[in-house]
Amino acid sequence: MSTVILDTITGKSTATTITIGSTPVVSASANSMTIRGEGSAQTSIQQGLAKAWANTSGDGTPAIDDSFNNASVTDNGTGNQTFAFTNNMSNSNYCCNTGVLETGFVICMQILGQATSNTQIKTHDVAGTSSADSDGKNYSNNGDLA
Amino acid sequence: MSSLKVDNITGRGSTGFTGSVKSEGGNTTTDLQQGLCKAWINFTGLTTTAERDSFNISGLTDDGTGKTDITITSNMGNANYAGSSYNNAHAGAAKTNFGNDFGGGFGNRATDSFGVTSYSSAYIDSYNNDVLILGDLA
Repeated sequence: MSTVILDTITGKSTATTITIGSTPVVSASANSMTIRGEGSAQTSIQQGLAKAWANTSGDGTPAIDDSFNNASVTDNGTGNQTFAFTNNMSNSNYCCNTGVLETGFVICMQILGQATSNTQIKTHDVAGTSSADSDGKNYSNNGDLA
Repeated sequence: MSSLKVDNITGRGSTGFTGSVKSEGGNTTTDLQQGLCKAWINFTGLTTTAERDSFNISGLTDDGTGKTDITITSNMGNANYAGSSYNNAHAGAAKTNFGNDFGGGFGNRATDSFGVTSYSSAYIDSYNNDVLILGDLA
């Protein structure tokens, strides 16, 4: 095993581009970083990263317990919350997945809206077919950052 | 400060470059490859079953009401990958269009494709579908 200890690696021909093998892994170009997967295929680092996620708690008043690229959560009413991003998405066609924490009854989640600056999520009581606050919410978004 | 200027870095082993990064807490490292989502898609399951945006997805096939087969561009290494899916179990796009008794999820999983379903009392074509895959690439 060989080890090189230094502070900065800079592309020689183009300062912002470094290639490993034949694949550019460091580049200033958008969506240009790739990494070899578990087998032999290459996969995009940017496209594989979750661009925003949050874990909230609070039955009536939501609080963010942990998050990434999530600036705030706004309570819009029973079960209805808006999660605003710090850095916006480039379009509203991102892939949003959700999870719910609730110990008292069976509950399901609805994505009310996907915008470039936020995701709006609502929880429902399945038995009562009505809006209901949950003990917590989780979401993660995969897609294109602006 | 030390600087190294190179154009190409070549791994010595047969597996090429493998990555891990230090954790947020600084006490461990996490595998970069394993942490990456390997495929995701946002699509409509209505009559013209079509994607809005995706990554590593090559196509969609309408397999009947509420059932969609999705093919992967760069295959997975095995069929034991994990997935997460959401659908609104309703044909409408409005905020109020939501099947409150919604269900569905994954059908068959193969290295080059997987199926997803949308259900609300019966299979239904949904306007909103979001699916992501985590696992090993081939």
